[in-house]
Amino acid sequence: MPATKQKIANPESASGTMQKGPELNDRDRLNDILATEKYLTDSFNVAVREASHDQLFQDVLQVLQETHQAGRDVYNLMFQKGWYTLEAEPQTEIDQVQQQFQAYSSQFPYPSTLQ
Amino acid sequence: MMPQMSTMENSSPTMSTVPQIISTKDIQYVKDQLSWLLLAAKKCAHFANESQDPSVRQAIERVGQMHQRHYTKLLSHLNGQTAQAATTQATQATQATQTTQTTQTTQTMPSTQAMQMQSTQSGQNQSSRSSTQPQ
Repeated sequence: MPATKQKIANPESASGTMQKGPELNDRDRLNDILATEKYLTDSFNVAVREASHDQLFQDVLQVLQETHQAGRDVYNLMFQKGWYTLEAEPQTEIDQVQQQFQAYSSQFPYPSTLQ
Repeated sequence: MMPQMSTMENSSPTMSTVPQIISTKDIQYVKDQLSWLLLAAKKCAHFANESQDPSVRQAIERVGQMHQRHYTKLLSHLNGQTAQAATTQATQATQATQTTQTTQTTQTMPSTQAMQMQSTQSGQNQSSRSSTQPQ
């Protein structure tokens, strides 16, 4: 029997919902900026792979990392404002996957290093 | 690692790392990146200005300023001096040794990818590269 999935979200903040019409509201704007950061990180990721020399590689890599962080900050703000909902996976399902992949570790090619 | 011809007289050192040159591929990618960044910075400034909530305004403003900073950072790679010095160094090394240039022909053109992402995002149909160029 599947457990009911728990929703994780903050109460919805006013400024996102105040205008639920055809005009862009704050939530829409954040959503769009988030989408922009996502597409930028995709594009920068390709560019960083293709950089010819190390200095350029380092700079593009830094741009990529900071862009990732920017998207992260926007995401966190949206969650804070109650504009992003997550669903928690039931522990039973997590346990099942854990057991499955724990068993697969028997396929490790290298000897395990125990701390 | 570049093979040294046995017939060569000079013992020119082989380059241990790629010299700081702007390759033909680099310039294409840098052009695209600069275009994306300028547009993103402008959009952020525009949205920040329209925002009602001060925390939203501040967040978007910060992102926009970051994009502008990144623009300047990448633009500096096109400044002639460092590139020229490295090109001279590279030319001298390649004259002395036989080099095999790796060609990466299977890579997707960056602008095409950007186009596809943009059209997915905004629903617009952009068929030419030049449409992402800033005015």
